Amino acid sequence: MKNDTITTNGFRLGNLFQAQYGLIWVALLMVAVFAVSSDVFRTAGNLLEILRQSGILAIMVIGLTWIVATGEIDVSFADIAAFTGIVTAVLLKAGFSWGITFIVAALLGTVFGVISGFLVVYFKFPALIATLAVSGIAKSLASLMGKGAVIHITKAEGLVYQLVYGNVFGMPLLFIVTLSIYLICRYLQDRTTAGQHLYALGDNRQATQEAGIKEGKILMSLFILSALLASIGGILLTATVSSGNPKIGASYFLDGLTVVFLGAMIIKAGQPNVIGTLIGVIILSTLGNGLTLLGEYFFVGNIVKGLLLVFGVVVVTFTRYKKRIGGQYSIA
Amino acid sequence: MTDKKGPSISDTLKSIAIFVMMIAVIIIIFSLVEDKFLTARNLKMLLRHMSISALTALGLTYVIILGHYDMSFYMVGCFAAMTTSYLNKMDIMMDSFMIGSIHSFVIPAVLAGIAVGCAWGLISGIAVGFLKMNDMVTTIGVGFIAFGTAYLYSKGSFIYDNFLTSGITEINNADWFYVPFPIVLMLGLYLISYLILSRSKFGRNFYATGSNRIAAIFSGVRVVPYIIVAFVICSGLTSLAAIMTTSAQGVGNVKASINFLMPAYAAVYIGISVFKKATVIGTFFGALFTSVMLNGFTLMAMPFYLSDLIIAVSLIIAIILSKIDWTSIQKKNPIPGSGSEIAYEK
Repeated sequence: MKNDTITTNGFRLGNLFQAQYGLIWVALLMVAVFAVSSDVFRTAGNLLEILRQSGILAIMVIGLTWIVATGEIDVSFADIAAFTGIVTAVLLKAGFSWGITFIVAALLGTVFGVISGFLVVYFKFPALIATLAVSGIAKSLASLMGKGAVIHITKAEGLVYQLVYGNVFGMPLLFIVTLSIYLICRYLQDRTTAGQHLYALGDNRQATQEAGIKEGKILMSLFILSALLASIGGILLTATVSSGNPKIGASYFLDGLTVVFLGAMIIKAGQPNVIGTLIGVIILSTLGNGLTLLGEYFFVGNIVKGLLLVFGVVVVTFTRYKKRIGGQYSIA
Repeated sequence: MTDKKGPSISDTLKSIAIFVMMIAVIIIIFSLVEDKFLTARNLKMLLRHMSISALTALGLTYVIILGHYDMSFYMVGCFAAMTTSYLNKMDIMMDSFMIGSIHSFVIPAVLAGIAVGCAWGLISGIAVGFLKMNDMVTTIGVGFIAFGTAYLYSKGSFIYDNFLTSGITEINNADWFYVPFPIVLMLGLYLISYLILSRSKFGRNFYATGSNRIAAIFSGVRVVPYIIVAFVICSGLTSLAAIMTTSAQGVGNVKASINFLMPAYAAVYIGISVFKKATVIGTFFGALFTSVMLNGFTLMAMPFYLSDLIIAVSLIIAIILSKIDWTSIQKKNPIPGSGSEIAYEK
């Protein structure tokens, strides 16, 4: 892989006009259009709200980003989040404190990651099938706990309230936490051996096996990590909306995959990376927020998201052709 | 004659025997637990329910054989169902006449629904086959666009108009010689697909493209048309299934086929777990297997939201059982279409 953008840290202004930054320009254009056409959109309060809303989805999809980077896929994260959301609601209703609830729900959600990892690593399931099955189980169990209905809880208090609603120096605390997590992950991804192994796995599975990289161990930990982060996302979601909804997975499922694939088109041109994902999440939140403020139907958002995805793939595919790397473009 | 690699008849028969045994055991258990299970009425209902997931899975089989994934078909189906509902409402023919018990405008409405479904498949197919774009991302994008545009017909509300009078519900209700039409349709399409994929040169090229694309290209197989055709068939059959669901529900619903993803993949991969590769017969038995499970548990008053659990658990058990080395001679083979194979293909 001679793609210099993977390892170099050098940042040149000229790079901004390369194809891999195309989506950022589209995003800026989108913000400009929204800002001109909506008074409410351009207020500072609304822009900060967008950042706050991005936080939960952003936490949910870090694990997914890395799983896709290794050439596998995880479609269970959204339903795991729905499951932990319900568990959180049930436990809180039963009178447990937020601390215990948080730990129990996160652990229960992580079990699903262990199952997916086990199926993929030991039984050689295709990742799509394993995680599809696991997501079916998580979704059903979530519905089972609330008999298919939404469980309402009282508003979060104390530390959790501060986390989802609080501000620090005028910035939403949730976004600051998310940003710090992403910066740590950026370091792990680009500056550690494990991070390089991720991309090696995605690039050439055979070569990594022959180089003695422990493929199973990496995949297993990634599925567990993905489930854990999805669980935390689900718990925070329940805290934000004060209810647990077994069907919430459906809306996060496609959004999550979209941000990861959109993010893959930014910065590393074809490879999922955490910073790209974060930008993708912010783009998607901005889109949803702006379209709502303009009074558009929500399905317009779906069409625009789809167009963005296809546009992104086209750009990446054709830059690759130009670079004569050729072949199928390398994610998933 | 004793070529181990080739699909010999006895291997197929052995796999079918395994499936028949599995399904027979389940049927016996269910009929012991629930009296109503083994009645003609229930079996008819079972097959009618199966026909929808089976048709979706049949389309998906074509894509999986090629080693690709399609994540758009269930959203494309929603678009097709809405198109048919809309055309059915609009009554596009000026002087409609009756054909049997249905109005003449229903037929173009249904055909148009399947055609627009195929058009979405064509877009995915060209993107994946000709432009070599990544299958998963492209199909998710295309699916998103299809699902979003499906809302344009009615802004997301149900379409009731003309449903009870135009005779569109006959697609689901009609009987052909005492056999419900969906079942006839399913069996017919499975027979055609079996002849195409297992008994023709066209089908062998499909398998060649799927198992080793480079070798297929050097053997003179033009792989791109096969990929495009597979995606078109997948979307087309899903559209048909979605239209059948719509006609069964008696209302144009924008989420007609939104739950098709899981049963379709489950049917195909349960088939693969027994047949070791994606086949028409395997998919058929996979769909039958999941439908029998669902039907049995539904009769035992299982809440509807547990159906995914049943399908998921049967899928996991089927694949795990197939991975256990019963003979301890056979080497473990990765399932075709698994991530590792795709990773090698460039």
